[in-house]
Amino acid sequence: MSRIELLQGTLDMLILNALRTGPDHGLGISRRIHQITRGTFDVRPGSLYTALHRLEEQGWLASEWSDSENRRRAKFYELTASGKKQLQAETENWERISLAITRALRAT
Amino acid sequence: MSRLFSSLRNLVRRNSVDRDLQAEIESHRQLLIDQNIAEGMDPNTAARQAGLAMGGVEQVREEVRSVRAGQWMEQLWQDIRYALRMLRRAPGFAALAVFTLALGIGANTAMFSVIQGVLLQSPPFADPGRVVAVLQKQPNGSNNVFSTPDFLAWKRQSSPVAQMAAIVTDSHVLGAGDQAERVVGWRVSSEMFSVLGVTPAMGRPFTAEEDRPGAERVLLLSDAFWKKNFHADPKILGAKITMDGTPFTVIGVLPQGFQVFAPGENFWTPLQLPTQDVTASSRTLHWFLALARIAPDSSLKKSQSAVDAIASRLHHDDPNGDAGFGLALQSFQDFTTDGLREPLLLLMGCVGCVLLIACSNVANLLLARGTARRLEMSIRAAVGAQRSRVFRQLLTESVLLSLLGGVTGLFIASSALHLLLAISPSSLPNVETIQVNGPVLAFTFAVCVVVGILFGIMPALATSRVDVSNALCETSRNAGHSGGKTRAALVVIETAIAFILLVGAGLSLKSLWKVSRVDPGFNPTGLLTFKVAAPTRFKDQPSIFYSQLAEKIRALPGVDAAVLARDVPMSGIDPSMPVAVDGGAPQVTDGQVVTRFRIVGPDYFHGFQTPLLQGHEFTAGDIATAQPVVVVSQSLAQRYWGNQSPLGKTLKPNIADAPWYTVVGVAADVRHQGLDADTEPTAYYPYTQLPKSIQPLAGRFMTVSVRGNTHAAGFLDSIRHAVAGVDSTVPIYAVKFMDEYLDDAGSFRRLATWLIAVFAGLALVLAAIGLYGVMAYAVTQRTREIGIRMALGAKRTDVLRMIVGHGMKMAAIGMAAGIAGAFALARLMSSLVFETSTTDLPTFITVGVSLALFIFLACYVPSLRATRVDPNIALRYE
Repeated sequence: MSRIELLQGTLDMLILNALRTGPDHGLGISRRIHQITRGTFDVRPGSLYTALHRLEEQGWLASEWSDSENRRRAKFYELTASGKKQLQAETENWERISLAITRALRAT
Repeated sequence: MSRLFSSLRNLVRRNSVDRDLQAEIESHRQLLIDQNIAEGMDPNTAARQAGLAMGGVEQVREEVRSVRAGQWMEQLWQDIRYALRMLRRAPGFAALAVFTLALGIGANTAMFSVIQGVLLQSPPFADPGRVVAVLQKQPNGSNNVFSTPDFLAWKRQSSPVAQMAAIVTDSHVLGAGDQAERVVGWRVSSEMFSVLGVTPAMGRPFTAEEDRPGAERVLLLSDAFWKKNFHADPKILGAKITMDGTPFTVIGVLPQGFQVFAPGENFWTPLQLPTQDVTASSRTLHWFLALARIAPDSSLKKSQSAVDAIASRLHHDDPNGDAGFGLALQSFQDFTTDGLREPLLLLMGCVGCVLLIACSNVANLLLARGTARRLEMSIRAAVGAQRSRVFRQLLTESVLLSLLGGVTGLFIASSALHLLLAISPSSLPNVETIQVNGPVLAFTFAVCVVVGILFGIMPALATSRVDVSNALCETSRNAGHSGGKTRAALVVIETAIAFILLVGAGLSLKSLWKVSRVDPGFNPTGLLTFKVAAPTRFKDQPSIFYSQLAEKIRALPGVDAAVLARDVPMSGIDPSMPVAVDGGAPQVTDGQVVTRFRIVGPDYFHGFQTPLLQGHEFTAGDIATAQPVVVVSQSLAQRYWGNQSPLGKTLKPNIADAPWYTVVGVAADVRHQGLDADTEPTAYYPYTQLPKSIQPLAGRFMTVSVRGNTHAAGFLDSIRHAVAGVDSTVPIYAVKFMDEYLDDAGSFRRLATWLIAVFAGLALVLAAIGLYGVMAYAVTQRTREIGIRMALGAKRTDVLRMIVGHGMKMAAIGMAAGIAGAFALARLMSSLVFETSTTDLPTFITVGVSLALFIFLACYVPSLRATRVDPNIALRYE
């Protein structure tokens, strides 16, 4: 499995994106990222929780302890309203940048 | 704000946040194991694989934690670096702000050091808060130390102070010849060690048996005395030390640093409360202090009311008994700082006010600067800085400012303390412990943080409130108008505080001046005093020793007068004894002042240059005869005989075997306790005509006062030589000029007055600087407006009147508030005010006029600048 070092800020966006479909716990989020990127990104727990806590401190995520699918206690994260806005903004931003870079690369 | 909040939460609740994180990671691991098992692994492999995939629970936790904590620290560090950069870019502003704060914080640090050293240091006892001083209430309403019969009577009651211990100073001559040294210590009753909760570092305390009269004399040494005089000899226990010819057995050494009242206490020896002599039977000889320990399940208040209940029962049983007047309990701390607490706290309040002025000055500076920084703030907001982040940044800046001010202030404080201790060492107890130490540093740090937030919060709120789109296209024209009211309010407060402090200083200075003009009733200049104690061989007739001594000294060259008095004025020792007059009974009723009891020798009034108003003083010839004579003070004569001539009348001190003394002279009143103390009726008895019962007690020591060429080199040596000529084993001690006694008696008032004057001066200067700053800023802001006014025909005087009027209006409101505040302050100042009304009109007027003048100058200079505005330039301004 090839791993790509995440650009700073990209992981935040991926996490926010992974939570778009509903609340999930840490392991679930990392599984979703794994699935969505078809295994391109494998998020280590250390980076994952660091990012989750940072996003929560920014007010983009909210968290709550509750039971998981097999009745294990786990901390579930959820997008807040401002988190949704942030995801929107970051997505647009990313699209602009990637389009620009793609163009730039093609132009050469 | 949520970030600020969660960062704060991280700081405050680090533990619970950590536990939460650990639980979260653990749950992650469990979920991973579950998943592995679901994929078909056996539980062991599943757990191992989960561990491998995660890279260790603890490591994950560390990583998250370090990043999170690091982020907080990093932002703080970022803010600090940024703040330093901003301050470097505005060095004038930074220097002014730091200097202003340094003055305020430095003064507070110095004052707190004094409070900490004098009021907050607990005595070296076990559970010191439970140790109380027990005093006897007197019929005249004041408190006194104990007499033997009353002490024993109270100990027989089952009261909360039944276990109280007695303590009285003691001094002995140690060694002989040139080595003879007078050492001071305590005679204490055997309960003292349990009352104070002290165990000797070596040896044992003495027993109740050893405290009985006639028991073999034993002695405990202080650690310092043991080290200095006995070279810390570990075999000292059991050794015999001879003092004044009496052998004492050393049974213990007290712990290092242990003292009851002050350093320099050398020994503790059993009191052996006499059962035979006059002190055993007399209820009027109050001669020792009692200390007690309050039971753990009680309190000072409960104990006091229990004692009061017993007192009223005793009074009921024996309405004439002294014991019925009751006892006053006072915490040891209060007892030792009596009379200092109030003025010191008042001074702390004053210096706190100075800091408030400094704060509002800096707040004003920040507000003005905030206006200048609007563009910077708008840009930061535009590129996405949250308001909370900017707010935090600004607050970091102001706390940094106050910390810089605090560091500078520490230097100011420590040099101020040096100066203060050099000026006034004697008026404060434990003066040598006053220093900038740990608690003081903690205080200063706390003050810096609080002050930084206090003066920073309003400007930070104002500055960080930026409407991006408006601010970016706005010029500074309208900016800052919102802050105008705040600034005016700050100036009003500053003026009010300055006014209050100036009135305080004015009243204190006037009182000091009044005190300095008080006639002490004698001439202290050039009067050298020293004490001497009759040696054991004169034990029964100490007066013979003293008269020989006085004669020898009088014969020395350069001596005009050498007179004897047991206690000299201002020395802090001031015995009293009620008297009966003309064959009547002693008059002691509530509210009456006591009659002072002075034992003096011939020519005393001549030596002290105290005017004799009637009659004559006793001469050596007079007092050798059997006819007892007495000299009374003017106030005593007035009190008992009114307008009649007191000469030839008789009086008798309340001592069982006292004769009737005939009044031969009336002397002017003398201030015995300080220039600001009341004069009290005083009777002067010849030392040769004392009732037999008190002769051993009264004759233990004598003060010799010498007038003449006393400052000459070698004068003291010739006196020592003369004393040795009478008895070579006797050292002289407590050598002191009368001026020094006088200085010491007034030193606390002087200290307090100069402190309050310095604080008021600081307040005045700071308030003037503050007003100047605000006015200068307002003029700059209104340049355009002034330009328009002048273009429309306003004259320079109109502009001048407008600007100065604006400033003076603020000042007038401030002063009006100040007058009200000053009345309140003056009432708190009663202990510092002397023969001056607390509403002294001249003081209020002087303060008002000088403050108004200062303020006028602070307004006038900037407004002068306003009048030089060229309308053409002003309209193009910006």
